[in-house]
Amino acid sequence: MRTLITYVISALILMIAVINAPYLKVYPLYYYNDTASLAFLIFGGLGAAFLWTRQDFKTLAQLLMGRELSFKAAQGLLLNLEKSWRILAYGGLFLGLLGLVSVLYDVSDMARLGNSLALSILFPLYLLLLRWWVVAPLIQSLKKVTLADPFEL
Amino acid sequence: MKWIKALFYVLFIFAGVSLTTAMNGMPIDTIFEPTAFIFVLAGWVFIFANYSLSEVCLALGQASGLVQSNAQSLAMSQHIIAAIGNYGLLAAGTINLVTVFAALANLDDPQALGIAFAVSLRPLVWALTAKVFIGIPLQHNLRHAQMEV
Repeated sequence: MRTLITYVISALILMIAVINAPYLKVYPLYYYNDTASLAFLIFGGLGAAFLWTRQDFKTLAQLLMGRELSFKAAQGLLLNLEKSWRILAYGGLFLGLLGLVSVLYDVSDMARLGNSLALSILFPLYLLLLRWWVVAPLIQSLKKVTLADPFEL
Repeated sequence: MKWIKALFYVLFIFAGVSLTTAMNGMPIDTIFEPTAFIFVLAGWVFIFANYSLSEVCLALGQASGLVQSNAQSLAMSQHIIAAIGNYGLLAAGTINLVTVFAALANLDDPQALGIAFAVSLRPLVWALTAKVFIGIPLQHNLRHAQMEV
């Protein structure tokens, strides 16, 4: 419940900021849609999830349902989640650079160049949103379990 | 003694920033614009998805040395402070990319391009300032306290 309220409050603050930012030109949502980037994100994510064990999926399900996690299970999922995130992010960086090189190869048409560069930014944008809204809160929840070690107090 | 040191630290930082902006002929209010701060705030708020208000307050209290409580481990407090800084950077990075996207979509208008790129960096300035000048010193405080224990 607290998580849901946090998401709503954050979205409201973002809306207030967007309304107060006359310089920020917000385009309709379909402007931010890039099928190639989305496909890489989905397939890359599925590929990275192959690192996970069956126990990790069980732990994730327990975490999403708000159940208590054991220290060992949380630590296992945390390690694999960070590992798979790193694979996805480095893969994205590689593809982004590749796209940038191919875009900059022909700089004669400024309007086309601008659109292509804007599209090459969408993948890092998807990655950042994924990290901000999904991966980071999951990592925080798992770290909360692994750091709440009573022997350290 | 600790508070005098902290005061001098803040004064030196302020003097450094003022000097740099004055030498470059930039009015300071163009950099620290309130709307950019609201964007970063949307990121900082995310800390409450995992930690309660009391946990966050206790972490800040332990880091500033105002609270001497062992209700929460120092490692956890250190982690909370780091997470706040990281959430701010994530929000700022996202807004930065959205603004750069808008700027690049209008590349054929060079007049608007400069200002669009400049404003796209404002949230990053806020987030980095908070992380580098507040978050990291607080984390160091906690690390020192951890080593003393």
